[in-house]
Amino acid sequence: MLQAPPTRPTLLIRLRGARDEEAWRQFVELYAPAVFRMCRRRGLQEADAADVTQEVLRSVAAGPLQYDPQRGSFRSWLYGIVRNKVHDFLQHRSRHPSGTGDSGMLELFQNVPDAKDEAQRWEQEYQQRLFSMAAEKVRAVVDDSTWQAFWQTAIDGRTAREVAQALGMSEGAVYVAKSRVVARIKRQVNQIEGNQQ
Amino acid sequence: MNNIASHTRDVSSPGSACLSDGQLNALLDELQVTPLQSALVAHLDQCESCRIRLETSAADQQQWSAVRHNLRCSGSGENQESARLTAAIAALCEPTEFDLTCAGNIPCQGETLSLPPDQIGIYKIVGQVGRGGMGVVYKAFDPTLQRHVAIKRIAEFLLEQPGALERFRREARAVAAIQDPHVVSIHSIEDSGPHPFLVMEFVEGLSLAEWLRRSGRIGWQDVARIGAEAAAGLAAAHAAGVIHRDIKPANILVDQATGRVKISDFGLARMLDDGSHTQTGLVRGTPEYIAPEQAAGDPIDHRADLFSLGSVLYAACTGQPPFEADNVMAVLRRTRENRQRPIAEFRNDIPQPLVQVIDRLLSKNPDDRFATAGEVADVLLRIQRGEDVRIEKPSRVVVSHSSLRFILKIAALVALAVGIGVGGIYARAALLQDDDGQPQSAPQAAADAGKASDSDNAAIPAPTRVQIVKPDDLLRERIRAEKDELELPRHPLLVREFIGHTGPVNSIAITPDAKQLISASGWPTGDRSVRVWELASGKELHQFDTAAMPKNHGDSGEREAPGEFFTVAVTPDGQQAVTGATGGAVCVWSIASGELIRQFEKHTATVYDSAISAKGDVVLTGDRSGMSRLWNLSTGAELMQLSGHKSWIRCVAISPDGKRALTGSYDKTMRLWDLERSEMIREFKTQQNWIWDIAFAPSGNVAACVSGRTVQLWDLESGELIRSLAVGDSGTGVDISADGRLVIAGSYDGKVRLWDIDSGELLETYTGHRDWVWSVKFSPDGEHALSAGGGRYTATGGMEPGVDFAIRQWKLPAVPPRVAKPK
Repeated sequence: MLQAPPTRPTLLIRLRGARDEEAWRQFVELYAPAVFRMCRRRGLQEADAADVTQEVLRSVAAGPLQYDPQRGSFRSWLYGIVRNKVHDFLQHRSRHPSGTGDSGMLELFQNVPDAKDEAQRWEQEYQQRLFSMAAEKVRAVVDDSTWQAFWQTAIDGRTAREVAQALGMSEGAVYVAKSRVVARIKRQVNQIEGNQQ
Repeated sequence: MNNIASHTRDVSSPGSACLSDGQLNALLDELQVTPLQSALVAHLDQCESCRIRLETSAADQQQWSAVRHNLRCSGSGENQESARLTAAIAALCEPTEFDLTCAGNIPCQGETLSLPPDQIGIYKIVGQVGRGGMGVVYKAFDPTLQRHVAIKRIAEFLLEQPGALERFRREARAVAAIQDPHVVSIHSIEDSGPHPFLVMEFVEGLSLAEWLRRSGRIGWQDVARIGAEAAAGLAAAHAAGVIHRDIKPANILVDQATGRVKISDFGLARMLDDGSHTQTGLVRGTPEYIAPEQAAGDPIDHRADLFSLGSVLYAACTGQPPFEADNVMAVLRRTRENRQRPIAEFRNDIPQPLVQVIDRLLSKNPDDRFATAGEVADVLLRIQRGEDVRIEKPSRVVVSHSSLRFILKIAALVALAVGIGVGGIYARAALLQDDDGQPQSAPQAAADAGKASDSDNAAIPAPTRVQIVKPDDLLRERIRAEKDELELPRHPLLVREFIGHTGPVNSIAITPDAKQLISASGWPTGDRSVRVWELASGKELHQFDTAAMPKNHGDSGEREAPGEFFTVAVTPDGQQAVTGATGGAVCVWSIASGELIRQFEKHTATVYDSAISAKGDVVLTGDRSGMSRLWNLSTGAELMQLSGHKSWIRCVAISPDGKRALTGSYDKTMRLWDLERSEMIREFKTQQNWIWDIAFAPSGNVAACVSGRTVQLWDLESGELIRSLAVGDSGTGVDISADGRLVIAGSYDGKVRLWDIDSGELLETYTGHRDWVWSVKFSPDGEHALSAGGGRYTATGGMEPGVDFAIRQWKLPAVPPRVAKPK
């Protein structure tokens, strides 16, 4: 796996600078899905998960600078924030039942996934999001046969010859296509992560 | 990547050579196969080793598998985005929903420390109950004693000072020794780990601050009872040698079950004080409630707590602290100098003895307060019971002049607000007008730069080296400081920066030969200098000898400090400059020598703007009393008074032919005057906003003015509004280019915007100023514009000089040709 470097606090400062809308957008796109899914796994309904996601990301960008890079990566810090927010949310819920028979709320507390497992999922989802954002960008600039050659060989695991026949290209061209796409995805990943620093 | 190569035939073609590394990389870099590369691709059809090399130079094995793994999962459909998530992302990216530009609005929420804990020590965290000044407070469960406790973690940055941890320990021990029903007890101090924390009694209930927020004011019996119990708690603490130092409504808790009052955060404020800070007069405590001696940075004793208790009880009666203002300096000054508004002006149901107790607690001189907290507790208890109590008046009564002024001013302000009847619009104006707190001290920046040496010091009080630090503000200030350190991208049209001023620059002027730039610094807390610069090099040539200027011969209001310059204008011959300053000082200077030539001594209030006619014979000035005066430049004789504006005149201008003048005011009107016949020609009413600056177009028939967040172009003949151009925040200075093509304006958002007058098209937004922009001017060379500024809102809503006092010179962009239109 690509070892993602820890996010440096300069990103947070840039987000606060309000000038960097692009950085903000990317930040949201990168982290929102992971935050959302973590909320869902903790048993929040979709609407609530969406609310918590918005709240968390906003507070991270707008709140006081709290992240200390020396204590670990930005992602693990954010993970802690999400966990806390979800916890607060559930607790608030249990104290103020919404009147729709929310008796299951207490169970939600017991429903907490294993911490190690959850952290792992968090990291996985971040990585997936990172790579699919990168892939989307690459896909937008290569032609479809190039993309297909890449996808079918590198992701679906079909042989170059099969794919070459199916797509009507030479085997050499399939190799070139998939290598090009991978090289580009790699570069995009580095770039997104670089932006996020 | 282990099986990719295995599917290929191991055939090497003798006819084609293997690819060089350069060729491989070139293949990867292209998007399409170029004709030249087809031979290479053909080679790859057969050569397995080159295929492997190609794959490896695209990405290493780990990276290949990371790509495969992550994309396979994300493409599997398991993680299909829910519509809710998509909507949430869209909402977050919506810029209108997310405005970070104002640091003052940053909510303090969430965690101070990096990882929100599930458990601290042996204590299971139940939830966060608040954020004290020193750190986060959690509700937690003590499994051994089976009870709830409050855990306060000390924010790390507070422990950065040397010795802080030791002070924390010492103080916490002292507080833990206080055993009183009215003091939140400290169960234990855990300071062995990296994050020291306190385990305290958990009080289920609400703070007096919340109570006040909910109900506005409190019945007098409750006020007396709260006061009595808090005083009892203080008495116990004082007996143990602990001064609280930060008594405020938020630190007074009311137990839900028993109604009992408990004081929290004891001594913690003190723990943060270290010797070095005390020496420089750094004050800790919540400004609205601290004692005057604390505000002055003087040594304090237990009676400072009594003053704060008085402030708290005053707030409980009236719903507001006795000394309020929009910035810390102003609060401090009022605390030291002003007398609080009588409680009777708020409500008349408070028994006289209770009012007297509060007034006496609020005595400026500690000797005039009660001697001990115990005495206060006793008296308040008796008042609560309805006993007849006589409160002796303190032997000395000090009513300062400023308090009288303050009351008059409040009355005037109230009258103004009522008279105008529009609160909203005046929100900003009030901020600006009622800014009692501009420190009447030499500007800190100048002092730091070692420039506060000359005769200035005789007339100006020594710098007030008092700084109030509310911990939440500390965080905000930290963010701001980090932002201040950030390098901004250099705007491509930035020519140079003129660095030298140590305070906001409010006005600039350029000599007609486009060789020199004159800049004047004033407010907020400007360096009060007027400087001459060489435009071509950005070098500072010299400063005007401002020591010769009268300091404050008229009314400065309470807003401006003496000697602050608001305007500078240059004569057409480029030899002299006219400045306007606090208190109505209007001075004519020799630019070359920097010497004062003469003064125009009629204005009695701060002069905000000045203009010199194209012929150089007359000068027009406008002041904050609403008076504008026309002067003979060379004799100093007053020629005309343009009166009628109902509020401050913020800007004046003389038409290119010298026959007419414009004045703009906080009364939201712009007036056009006939200088030959000495009469007003027309009044222009803007919508709901003050006029900040005005410029004539070279034709003299059109003028641009800044009003609120717009730049407005007016047809002076018909009185019609031609066009309104938007700026990001309140607009400030405006100018029209000599060819009449362009209009430029500054804004509180720090940006300088340039438009095509004909089309209203925004041609350029110059970015680079970090704080407010005050003054913008086109250079007479027709190629450049200059802008200057400084000052900003503090994290808490007051005002401060900020960090950026550079004057910037910008290149004008290429402008499309004008389009002549048929009538």
